[in-house]
Amino acid sequence: MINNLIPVQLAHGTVYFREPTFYEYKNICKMLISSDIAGIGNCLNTILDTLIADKQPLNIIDKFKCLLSIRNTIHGNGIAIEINGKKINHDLSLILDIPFDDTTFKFKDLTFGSPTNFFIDSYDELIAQCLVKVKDTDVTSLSIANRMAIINETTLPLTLVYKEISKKFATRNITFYNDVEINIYDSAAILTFLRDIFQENLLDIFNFEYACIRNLNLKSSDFNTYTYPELKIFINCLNKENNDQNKSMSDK
Amino acid sequence: MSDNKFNDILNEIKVNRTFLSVYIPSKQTEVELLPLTLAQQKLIIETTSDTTLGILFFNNIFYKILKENIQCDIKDLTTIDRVNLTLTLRQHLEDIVEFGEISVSVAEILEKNKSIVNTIEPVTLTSGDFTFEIQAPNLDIDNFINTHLLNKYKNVSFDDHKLKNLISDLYVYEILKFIKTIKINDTEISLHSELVKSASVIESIDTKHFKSITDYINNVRDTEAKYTKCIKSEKSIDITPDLFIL
Repeated sequence: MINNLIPVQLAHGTVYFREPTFYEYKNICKMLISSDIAGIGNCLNTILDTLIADKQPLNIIDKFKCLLSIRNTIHGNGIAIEINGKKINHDLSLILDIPFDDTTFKFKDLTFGSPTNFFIDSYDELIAQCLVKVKDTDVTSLSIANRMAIINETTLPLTLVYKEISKKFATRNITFYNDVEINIYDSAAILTFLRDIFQENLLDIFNFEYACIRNLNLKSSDFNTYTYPELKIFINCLNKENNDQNKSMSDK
Repeated sequence: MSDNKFNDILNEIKVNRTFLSVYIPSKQTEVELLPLTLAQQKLIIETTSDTTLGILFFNNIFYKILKENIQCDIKDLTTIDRVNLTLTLRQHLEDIVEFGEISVSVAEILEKNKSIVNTIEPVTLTSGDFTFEIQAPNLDIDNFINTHLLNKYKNVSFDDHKLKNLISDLYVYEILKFIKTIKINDTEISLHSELVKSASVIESIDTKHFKSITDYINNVRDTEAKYTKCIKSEKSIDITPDLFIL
């Protein structure tokens, strides 16, 4: 199938995603209404699973970069956002250029790296998601369930490993804007941030969809073909056409 | 390919697990014990959440883990031996236990415990028409009775009345753990098979006949406590799930 895939440069190579259709984006906004952190995490994973063709394992740094890139194709690079009570206008694409610390670290025979999910609700699952090597064997291609089974059979001190991993990640802040920092390992903070940059007011979306149906004569199935930016361009074209017509009428 | 890799790693981890050696006071010998896996640690830590029956849950889980990890018959081990077994498993994860600013080496406690003379032996006690065969409970009996109590009180929300029932049951079943048989005149009753009936028997006996039994029980519990005592301070290590939260 011929498709316009957009590249995202990651540390270990390039992955490609397709733009979400307007229908998909509307559903994303519906899914993101919830303030439940686990629900937001699931929604973001669904976005990635649906839009990224290549099924290679991604850690949260990869996922963050992919999500930011997907978001930027919908809304453009600019963002006006409130973080820690500060209103910020910023270019989100700049975050993609920030070097993220993704160095691995060892605990006895095991090597750990960034986890694969933003939201993890148990000690052992975090440890399993962070497991990248057992001695010299890379395990990133194994499923989380398999990695969990491996972790469960080790005799490592559970709470010490968890503390060690948490300590490492707590220092990995990135400067988002001037003195505003974000830590992508802080589940609640990063998932709220991602929700806020993705989400648009649902009522505005419905109004926009209505305007498209009314003025562009689109059918509901068309929204599963066109992307949000494409529809915005069409509406802008229509507005321009109407303005030009009005202008020529008034000139006469 | 992925399945092979997974199985290979899993096998290698299992094969490389090395036994720990634990001194068993009741036998005055050493037995071999596998260290706690991460999954087993998780099970222990999860027992911290229940406060009313927490220690029963902990002992229940710990019994299952010991049964899996130990290289001897668990019926040969008593609740006194459980202290050293617990400390050894903890020591393998991390030797130091912190009490505020005081740090205690579990390895040193385990070494000190080898020199404690264990004087607890099974005894026969007589009171009135009753003759009791008393002994420190083995871990199998301890678990059997704990499980019975846990089943009895699972899903119970503890109001004052239920709490009184529980306290009364804990007392009766604690005595029951230590009494192997009761002989009344020429009739001998084994108490460690049908617990509900055995509890009824205990409840029907005047408590004055249990005086020397409770002394024996206190002696066993005091002995267990000796094995938790630190060397350089007055502190004792609490054998609770919190010990495994490092």
